[in-house]
Amino acid sequence: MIPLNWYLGLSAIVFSIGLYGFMSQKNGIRMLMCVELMLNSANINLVAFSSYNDDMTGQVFALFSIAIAAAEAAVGFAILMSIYRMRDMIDVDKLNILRW
Amino acid sequence: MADLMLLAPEITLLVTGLTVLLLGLFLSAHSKKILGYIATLGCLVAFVLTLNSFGTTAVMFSNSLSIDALSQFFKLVFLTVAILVSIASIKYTDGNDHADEYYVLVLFATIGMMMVASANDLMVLFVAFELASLATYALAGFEKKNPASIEAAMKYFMIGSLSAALLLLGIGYVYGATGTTNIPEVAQNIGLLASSPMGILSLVLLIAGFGFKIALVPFHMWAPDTYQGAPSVVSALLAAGSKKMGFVAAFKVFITGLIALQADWQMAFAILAVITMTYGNIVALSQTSVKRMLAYSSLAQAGYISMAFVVMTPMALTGGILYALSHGFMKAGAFIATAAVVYMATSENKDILKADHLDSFKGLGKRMPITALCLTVFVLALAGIPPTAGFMSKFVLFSSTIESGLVWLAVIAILNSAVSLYYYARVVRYMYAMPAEGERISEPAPYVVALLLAVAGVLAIGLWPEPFVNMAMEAANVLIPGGM
Amino acid sequence: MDSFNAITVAIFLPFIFAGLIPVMEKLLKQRVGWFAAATALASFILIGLAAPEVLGEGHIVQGSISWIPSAGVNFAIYADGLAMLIGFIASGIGVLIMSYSNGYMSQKEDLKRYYQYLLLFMGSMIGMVFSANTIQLFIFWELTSITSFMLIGYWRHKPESIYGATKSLLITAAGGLAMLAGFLLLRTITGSFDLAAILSDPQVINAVKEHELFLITLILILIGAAAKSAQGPFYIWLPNAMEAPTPVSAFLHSATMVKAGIYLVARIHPIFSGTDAWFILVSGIGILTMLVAGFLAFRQTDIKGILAYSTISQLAYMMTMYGYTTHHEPGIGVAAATFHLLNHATFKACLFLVAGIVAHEAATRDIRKLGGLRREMPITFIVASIAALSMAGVPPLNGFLSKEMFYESSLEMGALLGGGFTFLIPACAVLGGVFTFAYSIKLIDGIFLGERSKEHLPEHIHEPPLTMLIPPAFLALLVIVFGLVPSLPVHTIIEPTVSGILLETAHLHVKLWHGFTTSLMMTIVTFILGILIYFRYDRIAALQDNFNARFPWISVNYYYDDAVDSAKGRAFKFSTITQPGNIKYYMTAMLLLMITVVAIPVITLATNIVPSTLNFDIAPYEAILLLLLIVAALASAVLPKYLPSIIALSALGYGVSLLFIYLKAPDLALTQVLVETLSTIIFLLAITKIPQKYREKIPKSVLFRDLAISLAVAASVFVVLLNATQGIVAPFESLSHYFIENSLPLAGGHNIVNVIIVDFRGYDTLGEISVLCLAALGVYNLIHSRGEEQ
Repeated sequence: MIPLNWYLGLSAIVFSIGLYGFMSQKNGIRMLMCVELMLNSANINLVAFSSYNDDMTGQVFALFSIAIAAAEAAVGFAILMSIYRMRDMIDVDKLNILRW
Repeated sequence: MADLMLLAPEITLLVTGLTVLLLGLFLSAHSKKILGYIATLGCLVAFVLTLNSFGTTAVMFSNSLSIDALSQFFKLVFLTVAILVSIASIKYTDGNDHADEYYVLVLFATIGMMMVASANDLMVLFVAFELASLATYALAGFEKKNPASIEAAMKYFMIGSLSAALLLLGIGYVYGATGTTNIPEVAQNIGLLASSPMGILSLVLLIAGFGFKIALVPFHMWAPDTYQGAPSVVSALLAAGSKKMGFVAAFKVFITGLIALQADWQMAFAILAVITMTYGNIVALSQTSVKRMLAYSSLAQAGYISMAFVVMTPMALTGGILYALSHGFMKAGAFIATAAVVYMATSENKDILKADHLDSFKGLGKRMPITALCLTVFVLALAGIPPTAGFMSKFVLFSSTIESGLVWLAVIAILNSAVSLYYYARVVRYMYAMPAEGERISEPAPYVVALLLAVAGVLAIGLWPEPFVNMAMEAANVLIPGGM
Repeated sequence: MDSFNAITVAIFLPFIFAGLIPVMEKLLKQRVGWFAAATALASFILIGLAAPEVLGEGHIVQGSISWIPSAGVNFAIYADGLAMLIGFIASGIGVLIMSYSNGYMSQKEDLKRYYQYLLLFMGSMIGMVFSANTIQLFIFWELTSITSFMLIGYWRHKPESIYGATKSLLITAAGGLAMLAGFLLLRTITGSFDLAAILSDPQVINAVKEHELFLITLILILIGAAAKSAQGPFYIWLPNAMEAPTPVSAFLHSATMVKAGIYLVARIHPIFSGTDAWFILVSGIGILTMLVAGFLAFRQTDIKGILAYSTISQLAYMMTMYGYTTHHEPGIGVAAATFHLLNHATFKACLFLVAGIVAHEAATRDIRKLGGLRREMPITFIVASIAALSMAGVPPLNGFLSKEMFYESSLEMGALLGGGFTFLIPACAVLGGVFTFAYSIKLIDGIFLGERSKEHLPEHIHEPPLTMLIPPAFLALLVIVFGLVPSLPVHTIIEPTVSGILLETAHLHVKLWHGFTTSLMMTIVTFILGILIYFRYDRIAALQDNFNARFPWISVNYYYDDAVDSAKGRAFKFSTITQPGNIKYYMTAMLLLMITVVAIPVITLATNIVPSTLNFDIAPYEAILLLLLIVAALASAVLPKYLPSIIALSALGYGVSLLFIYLKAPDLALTQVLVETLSTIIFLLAITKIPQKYREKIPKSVLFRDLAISLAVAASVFVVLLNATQGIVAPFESLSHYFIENSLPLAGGHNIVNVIIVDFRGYDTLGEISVLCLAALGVYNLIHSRGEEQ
């Protein structure tokens, strides 16, 4: 069986990729995808720990968080839709009326 | 089942929410006003039920929920804010076809906050945290045709989902190292976490997750934008309610669960608290948008409350918890007063982006005397001027800080209060010292009722603090048992 | 009624009656002022009811009503001579001021607001002086600041009065906060907020004096006192406060509120005096303020301006005298200061009221335009002369007596200190007296003597109505009575007050004629020098103007204005830098902090951070799965087009579900597949609604910055984990065994995860369902509007 370290490493890498995308993209939909990446990586962690600790809680937790991730994507998408309707673009860098 | 009675407040809200949702399908936009009354009633019933069960202690659902003084106290805070917001929203959503969704979102956000308050398990905590977050994301963007509102929702959502990911990662590590998500059990199995660098890592991730909700610098940057852009009544919910959710979560997780890492997080909170209050107060000086100023001021207030983590004596926690309640009244009241002004300004066809500019407050004492008077009470309370709730909580908090020997911290906090006087006084000056730019207008009754309730709360805590202090003390006692 | 109740009622009566003012205004119309005056009179009498016990028998009346017992704070009263003295002044002058206002305030004014504020102020002031604990004192203290702010800003349309009001609030309220910090420190030292308890226990007082926090506590409390009494650099608010209606200036800014700082100094005198710090701080600030303010009065042209500087300087007399202390003689100047406190209240309030009369009748307060009014207003002239001469220290008026006492105590203090101080302190005192003498004469000369100007003054000027004339005349009468029969005030009230401050019975002998003493010599010198300087008055004033024009930065006001005016600008600049409105910046700031915090332990522990043995025991197909996941993640993050990147994202999702199967979580894997499918559909839907119209270009620099940050995150997480996770073992009997054993018997289900979700963790599931509900609702709400718009 793969040592736990590898799972955690995988999760850290996927998380960082997600973070990289989240930071560098300006497009709202791309950013949403990257959030999905990050949440997925957190789930890998939870399930890996659960499996190695021989404890169910992690799996249950992962189940909840999968659903939450989907819900989050949906809400995020809705917000982006409203932006798109108003501004005809979803470049988050250009949303800058609120500042200082 | 006697146990279920303890969940009656949440169940009441849930039932109210579903009722509102169902009724909403059948009502025309015009008659949706009734939904506001239903929501208010639901919150009131939940409030009474919670107050009724204050002092009961119970653990349920395989140890994942705990009912105790701490959870009940914070539930009361959330319900207070929810009541104020629902009352004020009766006017705000008047004639809006989406009023039903609005109230359901408010009620669900409140349920989420209340669940966080009684969470005894990181899993419950996370789910409830997200429940409240998702509801408030949608609420912040409720004005779909207002670019500021949409932008506020977007910023809130983006930073929020990043924080959620960080929080989940942090909880994952805590779970991995202790083998449990149950908060008291985490404390028992802390050994591995405390001895490895993973402790620091998860601590940082958790602080980021909660710091986002509390709006601690530097996790705060969404807050001014969102509070400014979101509808004022929603800002009231965010600043007065959802911020406290971050606090109660942090109280539970850090003090109950991660007490073994106390030295580390105390250091972190000491630095963050000082930076947060100072930054908030300095930046607030230059704001011309009142909502934005209130946002920065609530940064500063969050900094004060965070002092409780640094001092960590029972009295300081009492002060912090009492402050949470007082801030609920003061901030919710201030934002609702702003809502009334925005209503006035927009009904005069002012640019919605500038509706909450200080200029709209000119001569408010003449134009909307009740609102102006109430807002004066709120800002004076926020500045910590007696005899208001703000003073009393600051007093308990600061004096316990000094007593525990952290004189420097108390001095910084008091100096900060002095700086804050400047921008609070400016609002009062605009309202009373500047000539009015229009006729006196009749103040919408829902706003007035909400404002007067909030004023009553602020003055009650200020003039007769004993029962509130006692309740807060019981709540603090849950965190540090036997510390009294 | 016993004394405690009488005083309690005296405190709260004005508050309650202030609430009644709007009703009374409906009934009494313009005569509502008499109602206010009657309230003040009632308070005066109520305080008087306590007089026999406190002043006659020398008891200290104490009592309390429970307020916040858990924090050790009660509403408590401590009535000694000092409290009685200021209580009498506040309510007594209050009666005169509110009667006078009936004539002074025009009927068009918002009288309701005016009298409400006045009564609120009076109640706060009385409440403050009778406070038995520091917290209560602070609360009433800040209330007086707020009411003062309201009254200074009473004429809202005048920018000057707004400026003055804001200035006074900023300075006095901030000073109050410093004082609060001092009180909190005092609590740390003594363990009590209770002034009475501290004052009655010599051991506690000694402990305070020897405590390491002594100096900082004293400084903080004195900042509060100085801010309130306009001492030291804090004096700047008082001249601007003169924008208030004149009766307010007479009441708050000469007779009562500014005395609060003096009161505080007297109140804490027993605790802190007898130390070098007390003398240096209190007397030092006092002497400096006395000289500077007295000197600066010369260039004022507004009579209220002169009076303001004079008030600052006179308050400084009292400060100086309360500061005179040595280890053996803690209270050298206490009697003199206390007597002067009373005398100053009489003659200065009188002068302010006269200034109000002059402004009311002659329509100007400019001393250059006034002159020669003695013929048209003979009574006012006499009243004013009595008060001004008393201020100048001319016998047989009460100002003369207390000034003599000031000189005596200065001599004594100088002698006790020895060396150069023997002469220096009395010389400073005389110099202060000289300035006072000069501007006192200027007031009389400028307003009433000399030639009457025709062009600046109205044609007919006459005496004011009796309502305005009687109050100052009454005060002038007091000035004479106190001067001729000093034993009257001294035995009835000054002695008990001094005993209260010194905590021992004091016997004073004040006589008009007490022989040809050194202090009398000093007085004569004062008069001679004063007259000499008076002849140079205008030249000195011109010199000061010149100096000020050339060096505007040698002034406290300059820095105050600079700080206040530029505060906004500087804060604005700061916020544009720290809060630029770009969400990417927000994230960067957040993550940078986290990396730093995580990296510090990583670096410090670097030596043993890499574990000695890494387990590379991994099968090739496992490695391929992991690699695939990474590739999919990378692809979904960087591929430029929507569609491929969504496909990569779902590939990752399905990969993760494979991983779940591998980790023995088949139920979860199933859910993951379902939800992944759902979210893929959501994303596909999204890109049909929001088409990718353009290629987003991201600058290289941004890419690298973000890459660096992400790598740093990855590195710190990874390094930490490498070390952290080796050898994690199930640390205890976990709940899952409970679930495994009980899922069938208790819940009747085989699928353990399902059982947990539905039965054991029903509450979470409730939350989860709410989350989904809510997401749906949020989406519906946000998307719905499309139909309506079209």
